[in-house]
Amino acid sequence: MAITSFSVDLLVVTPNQLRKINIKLSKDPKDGGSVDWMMDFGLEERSKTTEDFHEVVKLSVKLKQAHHDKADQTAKKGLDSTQTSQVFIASDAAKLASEGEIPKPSAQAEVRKVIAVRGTGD
Amino acid sequence: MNQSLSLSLLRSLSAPWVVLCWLCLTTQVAAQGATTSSCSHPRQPEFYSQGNYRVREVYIKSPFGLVAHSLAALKPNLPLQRDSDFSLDASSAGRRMIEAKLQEVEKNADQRLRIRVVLAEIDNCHESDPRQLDVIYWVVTTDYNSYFSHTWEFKNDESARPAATVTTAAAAAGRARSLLTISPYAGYNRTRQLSGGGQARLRLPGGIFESLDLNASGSPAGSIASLDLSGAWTPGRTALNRVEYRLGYRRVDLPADNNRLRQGVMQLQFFGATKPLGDRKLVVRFGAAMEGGNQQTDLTGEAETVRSLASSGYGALKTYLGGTLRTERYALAGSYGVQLATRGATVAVDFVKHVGDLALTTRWLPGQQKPGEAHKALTLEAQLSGGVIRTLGRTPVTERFFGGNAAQYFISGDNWRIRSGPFIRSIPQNRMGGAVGGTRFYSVNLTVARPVWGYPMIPKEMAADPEFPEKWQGAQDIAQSVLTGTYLNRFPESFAGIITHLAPVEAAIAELKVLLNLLPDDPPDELPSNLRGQYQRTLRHTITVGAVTGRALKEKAELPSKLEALLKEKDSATCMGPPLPPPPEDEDVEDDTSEDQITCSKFTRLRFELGDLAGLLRQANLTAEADKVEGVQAILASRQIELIEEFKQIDKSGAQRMAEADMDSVTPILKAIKDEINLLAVSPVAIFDVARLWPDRNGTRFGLGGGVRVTVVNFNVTLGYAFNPDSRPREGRGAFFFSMDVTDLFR
Repeated sequence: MAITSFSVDLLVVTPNQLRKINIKLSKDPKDGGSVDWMMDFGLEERSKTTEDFHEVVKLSVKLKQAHHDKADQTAKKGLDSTQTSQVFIASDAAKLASEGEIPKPSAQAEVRKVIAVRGTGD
Repeated sequence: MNQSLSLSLLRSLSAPWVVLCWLCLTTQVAAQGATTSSCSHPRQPEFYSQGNYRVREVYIKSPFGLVAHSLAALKPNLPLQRDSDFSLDASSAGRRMIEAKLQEVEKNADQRLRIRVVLAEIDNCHESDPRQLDVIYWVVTTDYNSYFSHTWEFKNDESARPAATVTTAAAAAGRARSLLTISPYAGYNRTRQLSGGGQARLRLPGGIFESLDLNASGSPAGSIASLDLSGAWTPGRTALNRVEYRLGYRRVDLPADNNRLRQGVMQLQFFGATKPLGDRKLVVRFGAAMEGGNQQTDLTGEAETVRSLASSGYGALKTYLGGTLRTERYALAGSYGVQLATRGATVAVDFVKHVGDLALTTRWLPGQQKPGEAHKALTLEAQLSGGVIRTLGRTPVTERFFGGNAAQYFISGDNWRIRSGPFIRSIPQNRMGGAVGGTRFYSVNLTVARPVWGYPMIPKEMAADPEFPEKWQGAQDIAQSVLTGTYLNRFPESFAGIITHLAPVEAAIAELKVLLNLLPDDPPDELPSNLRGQYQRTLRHTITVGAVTGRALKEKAELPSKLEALLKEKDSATCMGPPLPPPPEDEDVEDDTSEDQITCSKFTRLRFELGDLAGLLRQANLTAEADKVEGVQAILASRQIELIEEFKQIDKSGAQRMAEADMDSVTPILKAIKDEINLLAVSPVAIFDVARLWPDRNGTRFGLGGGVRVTVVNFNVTLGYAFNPDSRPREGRGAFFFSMDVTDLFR
């Protein structure tokens, strides 16, 4: 069998059960021979555990060609510690964008950095 | 959930499970039908995407057949259909449609963690004319509950067994969220005869109680009805991971030999469980219940002869304690309960009841198996139960021990079931113990089964695909990393020092925010024209990095998880040295993933931006503003090195351990899917029971028999016949036995 495209989709509710983080990494080879890597980031929140989650923001970003190898490594080996920390920074940025404090493209850039900040050693 | 061949028989044949079996089977048959030739360019899928290959067939497959079938309706709408030209773009579009459908199906699941991998593949490439290939979409998700949640039995029984199963956090959280669920059932039992009834669950979102359950069944011989309000709370503490509570009323009217047992009881129950403790994942359970009501039986004289009350009031306080531990090969559960009871509204204790229950489930897996071959684990289930009533005054007859092939439980309706009567599959319900039951008992039940035929969960072609395990493992690693990050916030004492030392930085960034808001968005006129674009970009960038950094510092409870991105440099020489030159004019302002932006921490990025901004402000003759910006920059520069060192010294292993413990509820799924679970299996079953009740002149009783077990994934339906080698009048030569239970393979 030959894999033509795939997605790895993760949903985590934080231990205090007030935030739900959704990260999806997908790879789509195109007909022309190029490859698209996409990262989707979703954040839901609630103020009490008895309430339902409400969506704060959903961001979808296309990764730069220069970071495709890092995306591939992330899909195979998971996030390193800096990437993990960047997930939470991206989460803050997404919320700031939803509040109008920063432009949405800036929040998307922070999501993109979840892949970009991966160390080169692994 | 062991029962006589009664209410459960037709329940097991009810539509959901028949459909489930059929769905799983047909999926598997479809999967088996695919040929296994491969494609010559597995690393160059574009080779097949030049209009030169046609699609022979499109498959949607999943180890969980029901997942694939929930997607079946989508298949006619996929961009790639039989005889269409293969294209990578269309293949990817199809994968995204499948993901969207999965999102819709799983949206009501309330799990703490869900991992999903969707693969689009090509296979069976016929590389000479006519050039054809198959398109296969593989779906694997840990949220299997969403696909089973429409059946009441599965969700309840999943948490019901004391012996072989323990409710996992994920399963508990993933209960069906339909507002109303109704399940009718019917069955036959020699004691109860033909009976029918139903179960209804109404979800009550937002209140103290989460659900209202009504369960009623009746027959010419007797009836059982219960109404329960129940709820749960998950503190998530080691000593108290989950609390469940229930307020209910239960009414029973059943025959026992030539007597009738009638009881109406109001119950208030609490149940608590710890987190899994130690390497053996010991879960300690504890609980208490208060009960009050009345009971009536028909035979007053017989009751008097055993110092019991044929009809009376009833009140009781029950407590129970137990533990369950699991390894890859066995699950062991032990429970003890004690009941202090009265004959009505009095504090004078009339009797004290003690019950104990010890259960073991173990499996022996054969060695290496061929891909596509059913897993043939030998399973042994053993259960030892016992109890004694110490009579201080008079005991209501309905509280004495009665035996037979329907298990009786110490706390009815509770998720944790402790047997409170001898269980023997060769004697009909309530026929052991005569008309007034006994005051002591024990029973031992052994069941052995081994599949002889079936299909494994992972079809042959997927088991042989090396890329799937890689992606699946990667997803688990991502999950564990994110959990580790979130658990850092659970150690505020470890981060207290560094958070205190960050206070001046936080104050400086708060001042910076005020200053940045006062700066003009448009470049000042004094600025040379060649720097005007840079000014706008730098200002916007500084606002963004400042806002993100400021938000992270402000929310202190979640700050530990963000500190590494704020502080840690990937390349200290670059980041702690002099500022890098500003990015070229044509670089995308918002897509700031230039090298300094990704190798340096947020603090350093902010420091660099502030340096650039201060320089631009000076050129624009905004000297006072430039001084303030440089002041913030200086505070960052002066604190950063010592903060980095302090961060490095913090022990983060506790968060890693907590994340690993969480993943223990997910990672076994992959192993179980790969090595243990059969989609469908048929196993011969052998049983042996021993039971004794006192006083009973019939002595020790035996049951010996066999039957067949049909297993769909981890749901077992067992049907058989147990012979009664020393039968007494009204008992018969034996009895059918029937059970439905869920084996917790995901341990």
